[in-house]
Amino acid sequence: MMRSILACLLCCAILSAQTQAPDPKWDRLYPNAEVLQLMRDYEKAYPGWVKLESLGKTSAGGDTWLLTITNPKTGAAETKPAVYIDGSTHANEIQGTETTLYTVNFVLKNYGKLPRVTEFLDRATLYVIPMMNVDSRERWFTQASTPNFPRTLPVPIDDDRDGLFDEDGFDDLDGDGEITMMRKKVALGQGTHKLDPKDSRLLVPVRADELGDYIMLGTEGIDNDGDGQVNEDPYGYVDPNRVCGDGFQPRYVQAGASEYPLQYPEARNIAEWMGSHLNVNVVMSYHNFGKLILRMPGARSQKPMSQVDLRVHDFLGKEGEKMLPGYRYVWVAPVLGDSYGSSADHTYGRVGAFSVGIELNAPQQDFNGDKNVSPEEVMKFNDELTQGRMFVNWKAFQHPQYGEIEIGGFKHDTGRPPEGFLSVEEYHRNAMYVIYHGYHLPHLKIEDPTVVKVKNGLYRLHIPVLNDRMIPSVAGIVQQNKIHRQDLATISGAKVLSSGIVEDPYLNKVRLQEHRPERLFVSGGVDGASTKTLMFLIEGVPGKVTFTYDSIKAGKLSKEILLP
Amino acid sequence: MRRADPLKGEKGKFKLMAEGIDDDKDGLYNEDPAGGYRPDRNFAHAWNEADPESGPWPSAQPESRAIMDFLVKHRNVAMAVVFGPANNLLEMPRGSAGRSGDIGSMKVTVPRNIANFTGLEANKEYTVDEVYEVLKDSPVARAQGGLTKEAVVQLLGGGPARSGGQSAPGGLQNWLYYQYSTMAIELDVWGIPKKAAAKAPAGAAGDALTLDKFEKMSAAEVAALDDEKLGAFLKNINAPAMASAAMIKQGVASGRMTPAQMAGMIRSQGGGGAARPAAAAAGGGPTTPDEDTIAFIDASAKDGIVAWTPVTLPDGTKAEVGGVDPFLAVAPNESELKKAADVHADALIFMAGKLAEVAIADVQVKALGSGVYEVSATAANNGFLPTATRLQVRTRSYLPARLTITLPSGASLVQGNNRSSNERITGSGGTTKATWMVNAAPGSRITVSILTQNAGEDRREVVLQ
Repeated sequence: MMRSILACLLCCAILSAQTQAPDPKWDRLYPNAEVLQLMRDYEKAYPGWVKLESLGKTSAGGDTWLLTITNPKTGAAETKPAVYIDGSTHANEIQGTETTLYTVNFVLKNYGKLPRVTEFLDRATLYVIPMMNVDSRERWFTQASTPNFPRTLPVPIDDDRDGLFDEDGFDDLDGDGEITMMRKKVALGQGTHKLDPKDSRLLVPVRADELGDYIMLGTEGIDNDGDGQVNEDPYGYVDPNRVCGDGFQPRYVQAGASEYPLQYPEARNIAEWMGSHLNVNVVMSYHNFGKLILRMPGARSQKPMSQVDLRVHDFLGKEGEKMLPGYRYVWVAPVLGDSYGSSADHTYGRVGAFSVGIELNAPQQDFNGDKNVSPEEVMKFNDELTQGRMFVNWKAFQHPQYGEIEIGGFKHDTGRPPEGFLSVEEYHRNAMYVIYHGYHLPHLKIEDPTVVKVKNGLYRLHIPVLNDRMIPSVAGIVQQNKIHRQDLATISGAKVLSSGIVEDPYLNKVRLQEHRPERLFVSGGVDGASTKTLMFLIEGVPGKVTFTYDSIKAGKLSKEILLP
Repeated sequence: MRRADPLKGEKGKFKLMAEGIDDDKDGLYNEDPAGGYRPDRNFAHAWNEADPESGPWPSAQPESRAIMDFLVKHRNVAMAVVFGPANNLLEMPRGSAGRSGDIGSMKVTVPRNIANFTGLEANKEYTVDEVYEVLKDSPVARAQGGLTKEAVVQLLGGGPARSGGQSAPGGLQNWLYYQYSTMAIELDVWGIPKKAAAKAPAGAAGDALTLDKFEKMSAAEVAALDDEKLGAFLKNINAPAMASAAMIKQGVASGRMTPAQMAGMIRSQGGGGAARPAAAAAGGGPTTPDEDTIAFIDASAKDGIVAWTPVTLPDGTKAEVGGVDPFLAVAPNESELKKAADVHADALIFMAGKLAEVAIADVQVKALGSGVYEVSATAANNGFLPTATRLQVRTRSYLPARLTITLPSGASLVQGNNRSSNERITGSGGTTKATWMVNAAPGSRITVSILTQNAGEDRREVVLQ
């Protein structure tokens, strides 16, 4: 046993290709059991580098699975700045999971080969929760579903307020394993639609002066509870992206909210874990649809983002637009509407991490390039590029309430996730964007100090601390919301008489700390791509003293300084 | 201790802080004591994102979550009373946006001296709105640039018996009302009473004006009176607040009324003595909480204050330690507590007696022929309060009142469904109605039910014939 562990450790030191490392195909979607197996296999293939753990049980008995990935020889995961990514917060936004797995696969297999990847795992940590809303994602695969359902937490809600829970959901009436759409032919003049003359699989709305002979009846289902409504109380609806603590609003303000913030374990497991992992600097949550990089705050009524943080977001977002062609970097509220209690608001406002939601994928079927995808074009894509895989043709069905109807439409795994042959490019570009954020995690370096011997036994040190990346060591929001302590600078080996932050080294202007100079709090830390110089006036003897800079978000580093 | 007022040319001479030393020598005293979060700051409504005591996020604490987990499973809670630091009865809750609540529906009585010149009835109960309607267009109100409802309450000698404070941002009461959305009230059970009225200093000084002296004055003498002196006189005789010195002078100068006539009128309205309620007659206007505290200590809590004792802190700072017992304002003595607890127990029972209570009021069956029956049902709310507040209608956090029909097998509805919902049945006999067409064999038994979460249920079985 011991020998095999040693052999493995030896093997991992170079992190070269492992025989047992998984090699997933990226042109398909992975049901939960396979995702979990992949996570276990990565952990087994890269022992010490990959840690798999459950953060707790979820609402329907699953687990919140977390992968922690870093080079263990360069420091423990929680001591390094970190990027956190997650997928499938909305269970139907399925390929967020595969996007995270692609990222995991890429960084592990390219460590030691590609310098940026090597640097990333050496100095930073990647936290990954591939399946946030794990139970509903499972259901999307195993039970009849639609592209939009199931989406929310597996928590029964009495949507129609009749005292019964989830008693009238969608029904797979024709038993084909898919929940599609219902339409009905009616007498001419009783309808709102007619058959598309070019393609009878499609309905078109009639003109104002035209008579229709079709009506659309919505998603496949019956009136299960006899209340005169169809599909009005399905499985769900607590939206895991509307339940978080920062900016939470109750359900009458924000649809999909829970009774109180973080009521359900899917979101709470993560919030509690991240509350004790404040080294997370970046949060990227994968959703679909529309190719968007979304920054917070979620609602226009919330406090606007400070200029210092906005500058960083704007920089990373604009770079994202270049790395992810077709993506737009936008403030979420005016584009997608106000939302409260989103996870990105929470991780920004409560953890102090730069947080974005990423909407994957956009319509691929614009054959004529008019920036508009017509139903005919979607059908052409189905016919020519998937050979009809996406669409279930209309079939007659005798409905208990509507009588003679037709059932048919697009399958649940179409539209929102790209077809397999298109998926890998988007996973790859997004994985590179994660690594790009990893590159811009705060990266501090203690530069050569200026040591002035004022007189025998008395020294004045000016110590520049450089951050050569874009993300600051303390975000503006950390100060604004008092999330955690500021960076802390100390000197050991000498008595500190006075300390402060140098505002102008040439004119010797220093903002002194009034109390306890031996513990200098560096308010605001070191901004992105800048230097902060710290002043210490110390009583000491010629020899070495140690300067330590301790940052919750940028790690802890020390340097020996020689007193002449 | 009181704050220095720069407008009076004062400069602060003391710093005031809780007893302790700067253990970590960072210049801050007692800034990181044992314990951390305050449960009454950790609820989601108006939660303070930048207050370290409000918790890492709303609902993070087991204490706040345990209460909410229980409540969301018990939607039969129709009313909640929080015994906390605020008193919502003494001070209208302002909500998180700081808006003032409308005190218009507050009940007030009108003292006789004010009743006489306003045409209102003395000692009859009015709402603030009713008195406001009478007074808002009076010349004096117009001259003052408009009247507020708060000013009406003050004029009537009302206002809170002591200050009530506001429910905390992130507090339980706020969550109960705005998010859980039950009727919720916070009561502090007991507080230091307002300073008892001092004797009005009428006639204390030899040259002070009295009603007797005023009565004998000529118009010219009144016109020559010092405004301040005349004002003090008006206050002493409990003249209405709007009877200003200028107004009296004008009235006498215009010749419409002599000082003697005025004195007669004041006497006929019960003025001239200490007729006003005590709080308004104190002469010094409303007292500050500190004045109340000192008065309370003097009167009934001699141990409630610790004499200031000089000390020298470890860093050499000279300080004095002493002041009011921090628990004085929240912990009454045993007999006071017993009294307060009794009053609150009675109030709870009284309020519980006012809750909504639904019942089936009437079920009518009409045979239409061919085995079709028209069933009309009426349910009533016999309680005083409605089945749902206006906010609950908006939040939809409770199920609506549902009037339902249950049919035996073989029977069916000719149209519609078996349920009629109403978001709110008003109190004191408000009703909701539903009509069904039932296709059933004669002699079938049907059941009509009224169902609510927080105002009970009732059922009635009827025979179709």
